[in-house]
Amino acid sequence: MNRTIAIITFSMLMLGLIGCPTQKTGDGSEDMKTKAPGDVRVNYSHDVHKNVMDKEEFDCFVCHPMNMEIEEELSLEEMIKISNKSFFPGKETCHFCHFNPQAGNIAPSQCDTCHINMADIQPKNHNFNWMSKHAVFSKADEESCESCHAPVFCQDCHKRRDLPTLTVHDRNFRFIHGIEARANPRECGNCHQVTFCNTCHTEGGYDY
Amino acid sequence: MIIKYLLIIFMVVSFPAALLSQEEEEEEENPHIEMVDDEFVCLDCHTDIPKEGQTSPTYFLVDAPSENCLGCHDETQHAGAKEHEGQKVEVENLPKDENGNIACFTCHDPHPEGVIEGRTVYDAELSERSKQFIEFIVVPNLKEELGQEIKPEFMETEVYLREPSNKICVTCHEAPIKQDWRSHPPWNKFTDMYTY
Repeated sequence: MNRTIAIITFSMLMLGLIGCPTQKTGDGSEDMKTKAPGDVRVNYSHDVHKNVMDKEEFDCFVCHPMNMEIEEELSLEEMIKISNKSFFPGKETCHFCHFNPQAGNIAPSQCDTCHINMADIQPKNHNFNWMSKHAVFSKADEESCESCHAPVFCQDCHKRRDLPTLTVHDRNFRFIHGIEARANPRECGNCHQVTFCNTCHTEGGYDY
Repeated sequence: MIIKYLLIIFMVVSFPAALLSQEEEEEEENPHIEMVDDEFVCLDCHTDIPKEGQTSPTYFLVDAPSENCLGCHDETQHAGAKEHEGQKVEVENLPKDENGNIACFTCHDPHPEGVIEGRTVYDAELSERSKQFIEFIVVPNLKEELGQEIKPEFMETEVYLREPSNKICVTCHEAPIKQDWRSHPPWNKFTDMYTY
């Protein structure tokens, strides 16, 4: 009996010391960092890319730069690791055509074209209650949202008027917004610039 | 006294000359260049100089196929070398090692033009657009990822490719992947994450 208790106690102690393998490191880095596609070769086709590569005058080296040189003297293991990293295209190379909000996409931009498991690239803070708390995060770091979403993604909910469901304001909000605006002007400022109010109230001749 | 001055002058003149001749000597040690004029250089890599029409699965090499090159070149001579070596190759028009796998000489012909009659070799030439992409997109990203000072070499001459660089890649990599990735469970939940 005592032996059994001792074994159970020892096992629990060891489990506590080793911990769960999926335990967070606590530095916060795992919360936001998205993973690369598991194995691009599963859904990548050289044949599909060939035409566009020819058209854009891109050589094979664009994705597989075999011409990289490193000045530092490193061990063979490190060199092999660096060689492997250099040889396969990184995120920026793929995203240049597939996700380029600044210049525009010249290739399909659906994330699951490469990221078959979309859960891999979903930031950890986008959990079950994300809808109600996303505003705080988006205001704090707008760029972070735009690293995955185009502005139209926000507008699709926030400015949509063709749905019976409530989006941001009630459907007759236009007629009663003056009361709420006077009660708490700061609330409007959370989303709107002053110019937004002025557009109607000055040009339309509305009385304040 | 005069002899002493003459000796000093001789040393001053002869030292740079000795350095120059050493550099020239090092350049001459490249067997790829030397074999154009000197057929005995063949024996640096081959056990025998094959007669016309004579073939061997080992190409009469002194050492194992890629080992032969590693006497002078690094295993990571270029990115991707290690990833290719030993892979099964199923195309007919490229040479393989005795087991039908990729060796250095599958893509590179060690013999410069003029050594084997009728054979042409190519440099790795890149388009201006590719050079710019590598310089402005690939390199900064790699530097950040690797934490190493890395730079592209755009003058890839004397790499003795069997075909022009893009063409030799598509010899094997043309075939589309046959796996049906659409069979993977769909992630409808995330559909609205599209950036449209």
